[in-house]
Amino acid sequence: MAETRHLLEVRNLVHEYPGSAGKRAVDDISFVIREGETFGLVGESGCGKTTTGRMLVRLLDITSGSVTFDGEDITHLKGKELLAFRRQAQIIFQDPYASLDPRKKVRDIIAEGIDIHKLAKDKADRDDQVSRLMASVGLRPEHLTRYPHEFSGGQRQRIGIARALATRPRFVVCDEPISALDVSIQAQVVNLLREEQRKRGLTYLFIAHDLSMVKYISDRIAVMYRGRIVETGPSNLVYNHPLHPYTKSLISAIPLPDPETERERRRIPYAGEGLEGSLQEAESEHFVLMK
Amino acid sequence: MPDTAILQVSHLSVSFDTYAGKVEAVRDISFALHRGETLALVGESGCGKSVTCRSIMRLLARNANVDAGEILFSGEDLLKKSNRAMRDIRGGKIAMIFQDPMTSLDPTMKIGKQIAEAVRLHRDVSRREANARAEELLSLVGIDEPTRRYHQYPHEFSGGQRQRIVIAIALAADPEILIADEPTTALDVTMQAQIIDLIRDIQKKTGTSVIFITHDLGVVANVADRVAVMYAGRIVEIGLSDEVFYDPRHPYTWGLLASMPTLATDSETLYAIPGTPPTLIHPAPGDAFAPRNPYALEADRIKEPPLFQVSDTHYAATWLLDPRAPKVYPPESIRQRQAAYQKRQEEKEAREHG
Repeated sequence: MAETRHLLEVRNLVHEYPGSAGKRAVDDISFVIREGETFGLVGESGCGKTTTGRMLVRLLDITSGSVTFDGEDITHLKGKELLAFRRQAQIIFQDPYASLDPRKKVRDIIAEGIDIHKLAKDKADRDDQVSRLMASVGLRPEHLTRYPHEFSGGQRQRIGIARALATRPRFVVCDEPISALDVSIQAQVVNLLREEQRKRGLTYLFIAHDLSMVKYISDRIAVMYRGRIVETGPSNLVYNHPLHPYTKSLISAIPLPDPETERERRRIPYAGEGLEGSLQEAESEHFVLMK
Repeated sequence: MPDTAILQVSHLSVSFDTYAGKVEAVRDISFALHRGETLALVGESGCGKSVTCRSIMRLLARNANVDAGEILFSGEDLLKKSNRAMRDIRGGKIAMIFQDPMTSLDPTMKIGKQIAEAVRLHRDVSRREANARAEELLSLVGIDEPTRRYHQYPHEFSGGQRQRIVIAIALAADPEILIADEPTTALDVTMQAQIIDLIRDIQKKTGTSVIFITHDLGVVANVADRVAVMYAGRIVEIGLSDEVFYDPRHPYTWGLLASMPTLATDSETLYAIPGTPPTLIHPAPGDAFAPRNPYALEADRIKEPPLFQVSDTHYAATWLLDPRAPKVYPPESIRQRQAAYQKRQEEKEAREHG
């Protein structure tokens, strides 16, 4: 993926939760996401990765900083313009049980975006679009009139994916889309996400704490710690040649299905060092936080 | 190694009565836990791994029935014990830690008191001695400044520290067996690694035998001496950690291992096991994995395969191990595992003989 366009440009993004007395959940982060790539965001719980993802699709207010999407500043969009942006930027949530309205039929869940953005000419067109989406994510036509509780976790996540794709977005935030799923189902969902990306030319922000999976799926990644990005670069470089002490510690802790490696594993502890300074380019495209 | 078994589960079957029908959650499983070892029970949700452990602890829900089997602990069947006798064993000789450390601690009680309570429940000691023991346990599980932190409440600790406290409570009575039910699932990778190190460390110090329940094969590779893979209420493969990870024989184990990306995986599509796990209401005859198994033989759909012996320590329940079965090739990544392992074994032998 040589010189592709930047679909998103994030500059000095900050989020303070109301009442947090100036404590920043996301503390001055900047990065770009290129058209068609998967940008992975990793870090421990509470590091600000979900907050970041939600700000990028404007589900959370941006305290300061700016986000441009396809050249347009979306930081303070309102009303019609915000709606138009949201058609193009969708999100898939972690918990497939909590993110689907239990009182709605699958057909109406998936069609919600189509209705809101008036993307269907008539009822037949709406049904047709929903059926195509269902087939595309591997659900059967008879599932259309069922309710979420009738589905397994993996199938629900497929419904969540179909819902996100219904508005024909260009950018999708995948917020821990597989962590609530069983091992044998995770690979299915990851393959589905990649296939849809290929077919539709989607750009993903992939948030997860399973570092092996993030490496597998992402072109580039950013490592977050306490609201800041401590390291970012092509995933191969970051994983094989981590520079920041936190990244080193994180990667040294990834459990691998290989007893031989596990026996020789030496974890690198992290004591909170190296959090001052700014992101600096250590090698081509590979940035690390340092003084 | 039957003489070293501290716990022997034989032909255990457990079912649940539900509105939808009878759910056969555990179907005729047998295994031994040896003294001082860590046995991992691996499988996805609903495979019966937690039900198995709750049967050992006699903590099953009211709608559960133990339909058959026995669970021998120091020669006595736990399933035949009175509730009173079980109360002494539970938390005393056999202790259990759960996935969510927040729900297993009392939010309104100082953590030191919660540990001391567990000590006094199983040991005839004074309050002062129990408190001293609680502090000792806190430092054993790696909580700094135990004397100060003794007086703090659960919300003042991080998730990883809370799990350490839960472990301290479990260790209060020096149990012979520790059952850990997904103890690291709610934690971040770094915390996860620390808790696993802690459990291994404690095991080394105290000689406790551990049953470790998890769905994460990465975690298993780190902790387990032996691994039992469960699917649809049965053990489909059991063996030494090396045998299961490097020479797996059951197609389900192949699928699980092949569908996990390692840091070296860069193929376009990930191997994925098709379909979803079956419901266990009136399970179909034959091997429950057959409908999802690209390697299934006709026999798998008709008759449940027995556990075939692969080595002294390694068994797998698949008709592929029957001498009459055709030869099949496991997925590429599994063949790589087998080849790398074989090479290492040969090198080891060469070193030992030369």
